[in-house]
Order: sequence, then structure tokens, then C-alpha cells
Amino acid sequence: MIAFTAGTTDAQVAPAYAGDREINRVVDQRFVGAGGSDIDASKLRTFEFPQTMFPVDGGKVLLRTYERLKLLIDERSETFAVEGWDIRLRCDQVHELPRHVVRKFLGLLAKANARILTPPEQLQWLSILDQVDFKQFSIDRAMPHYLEGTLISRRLGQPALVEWADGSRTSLHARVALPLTSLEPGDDFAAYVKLGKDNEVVSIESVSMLAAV
Amino acid sequence: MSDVSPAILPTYDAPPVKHRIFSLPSVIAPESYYARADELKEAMMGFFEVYEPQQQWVLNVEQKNGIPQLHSMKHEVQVMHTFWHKSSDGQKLVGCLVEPDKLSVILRNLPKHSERFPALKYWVEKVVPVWASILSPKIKVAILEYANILSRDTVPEFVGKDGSLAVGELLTVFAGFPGEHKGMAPPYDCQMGLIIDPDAHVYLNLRVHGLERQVANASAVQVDLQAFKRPSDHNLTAAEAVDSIDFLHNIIVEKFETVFTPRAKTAFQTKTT
Repeated sequence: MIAFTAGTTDAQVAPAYAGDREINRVVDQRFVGAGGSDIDASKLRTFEFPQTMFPVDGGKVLLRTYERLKLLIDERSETFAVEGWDIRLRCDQVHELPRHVVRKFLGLLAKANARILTPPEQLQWLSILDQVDFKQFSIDRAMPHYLEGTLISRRLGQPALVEWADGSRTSLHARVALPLTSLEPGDDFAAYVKLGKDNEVVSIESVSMLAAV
Repeated sequence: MSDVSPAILPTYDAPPVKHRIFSLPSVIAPESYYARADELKEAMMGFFEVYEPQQQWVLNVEQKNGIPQLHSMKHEVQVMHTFWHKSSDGQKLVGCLVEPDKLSVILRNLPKHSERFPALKYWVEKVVPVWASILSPKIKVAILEYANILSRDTVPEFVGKDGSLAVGELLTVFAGFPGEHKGMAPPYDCQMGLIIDPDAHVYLNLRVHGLERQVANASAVQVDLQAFKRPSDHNLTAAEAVDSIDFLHNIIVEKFETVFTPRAKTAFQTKTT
């Protein structure tokens, strides 16, 4: 790996313990100095963005991409385009990319929900959906469901067993069942329940006792 | 380590320190780092006035038949978050560098400013607990590093008319070089690791290397002293990491005394930066 640092000499205060990075910097200077004309410039135009998780709602939810985003550099305009996302930024604004990715995604999602995507946007939306874990995003962002049920059993450190109003039974991980601590087996309760993949209970909040009403 | 207590070691008016860095290489879950990046920025801006993202465009070179070649893909851009506290005259004085796998707190040695180790410690005690509470890092090692520059700016009496630096008269590790020679010349690059206290998992790295660029039209040498605590059997808590800074500082001060020659230390006593 070789590296070069954009910007100021402040980068030089990085600790030498950074080891590889410090060595990379030295190698880079020699590399470039050894003859930049020999470098195949076409191989320098595509960079990967290592971040594959993009915070939404202040980090409460993450938008995850299956692969690293590919940045295609345009030296003339000193900009890069994100492959498949219709995002173009100045190279020195690459730190803003996470915000633009989320903004692009939420913008198209809103239009898709309102069914007002233009034909080009539809194609782009489909392309983006191929790149992100939309199912996980939808689950993570879904509002909790109001459910009623009965606590069947619960012991410290053990999964709790709950029977929901529709008659189905669910075993809850001890950590997830913590909000039910004040209940006794046989108590009827209502709560807002967040469900994950395969309707797994991810969290329970705002528990109230129905029998007490 | 020796019984020499830093309390009885001399202090210097103008040590050739370029910067002091306390860093904590750590393992941080990507979910935590990326989900809470904005929260961390908000918290850091409560301490620092300036936010300055840094980027590194990193090329990937692979070796084929012993020949380095640019990989057609796999180059990546890395973004780091830097926060700065400025001095009264507007210079970047104290920095905080946040990376996906490390926190570094940096105290720069600026002309006309006399902030020393206590200033670094003050900022470490402020920043590390907040960083740790937000990102829940598994701290692997605590490192205190002093980078010293020997140049015409810091030791002019050791620079010849031709711009050469009398390294052999400045550093004890070069002073006793065996055999006869008229002087020493670049390149300089020498490093070693010292086991300070294996039971406490404390070590020190020393590196002496010539700078590629001249300083004030003369050769210059950087001397890095890097003391670190790296337990092999557990991660450091944030409190343990912060608490280690005094101990690591003592080691650096003690080794500073042994690395530089008496003549060099006399020069550090009398200069004003």
C-alpha cells in the first residue's frame, strides 16, 4: 500500500505508531519521485469508500450497502462520481459523502412511496435497491407495534415466554424481556413491540398492565 | 526501569520537542463508529473550536514477480475527523484525531507558547472519557510519543557551515560509534525497542531518522520516543488508559536524559523557543 495525503502539513503530526501509514507516506514520496510518468493514470481513477454503514435518524438506524461504494475520479473538474448513485462531489468534500448518500436514498424513497418517481429515477432507485440492504433498513426503521399479551413464564437470566392476543407464543431473549420484570406469570399486558426479521421481537417498551386498568 | 525519579531530573527551557501525542489504538465496532459519528462530532465540538476532516487517498500496490504494480482497483479513500483548539494567536495548538481504530490527542510545540506535558494531560483527561463513552472502544494499547527535531532551528551550534548536523555530538547512541571516522553523514535511520517493564507490559520505542527535507538549509534529524502500555491479556479501560499517561511520561523523561549527550542537553537549557 502506498499513500498520499491531501491537504495540510497537519497530517504530519500523525503519530509514528500509525506504523503502516507513516511508512506508506515515505514510500509514496519515493514512488512519485521515481517517475510519475510511468504510472498508468487510468488505474488511479477508481477508489473505494470503505464505509458501508450510513447513519440515518442521527445514527438510530443504519443504511447498509452490500459493497463499498466506488468513486470515479475526474481529474479535470477535481470531482468524483459515486457509481450508480448519481452523486458528484468535489474530491476535497469526500467527508460529506455519507450525508449525500443518505440524502439521495431518502429522497428517492420518499418519491417511491408517493409513486412520483420519474422513469430515470425509477431506474436509479432500482439500482440503489440492489446495492443496499433495504429489508434490514425497513425493519430497523419500522415503528413499534401495539400488542397485547400474557406473560407465561420468566426467570432471571432465562428467556421469557409470552402468549400474544392472537394465541401465538414467543420466547423472548432475557435482555429483550427486561421491561417485563415487574410482571408476574399470568399478568396480561400491553406494550409497543419492535419486530425484526422473521417477526423476531427486538425490543419492548411502554409496558402497561391490562389487569390493573 | 531505573530508580531515577523524573522529579529529580532537570527540566529544559527549550527541549527540541516538535509535538507530544497520546494515542489509543482500539477496536471499535463499525456499527458504533458510524452510527455515532455525528454524536461524537457534537461532543468534541464542545471542547474544540475547529472541525477539520482529513482525507487520505490510498493507493494499493501489489507485487508481481518482485515488481511493484498499481492494483487496478482496491484504492481507497480514508476520512479522519480532526478537531483543533487554537492558541491565543490563532495557531492550531491542541488537536484530536479520531479514526475508526484510534484516538490521538496532539499537543504541538509552537513558538511563543510554553504548553508542556500538563497541557496534554489536561486535554487527554477531558477527551478520552467522552470518546470512550460514545464509541465503547476496546483499547488495546496506550501510547505516549514525543517527537524531537534536531535542526538549525533547535541546535544551531551543532550545524556546520555546509549545513551538516553533528549527530554524533548530539545523540549518545551515535556518539560512541566504534572505529575511526571524520564525521557522520545522512542517511540516518536507527530504531530499537526497549522492554521497560514486562510485568506491567510497558515498552519504549526509540527511532532516530533523518528528515528528507532540510530545515533552515541544513540537515535535520527526528528523534521519536514512544512509550506504551500494551497488556497482552486484557483491554485497557478508558480510566486505566488515562491513568497510564503519567507513568509513560516518566519513562520518556528518563530516556530523554540518556539519549541526548550532555552537550546537547546544555543547549536545550539555554535556548529560548
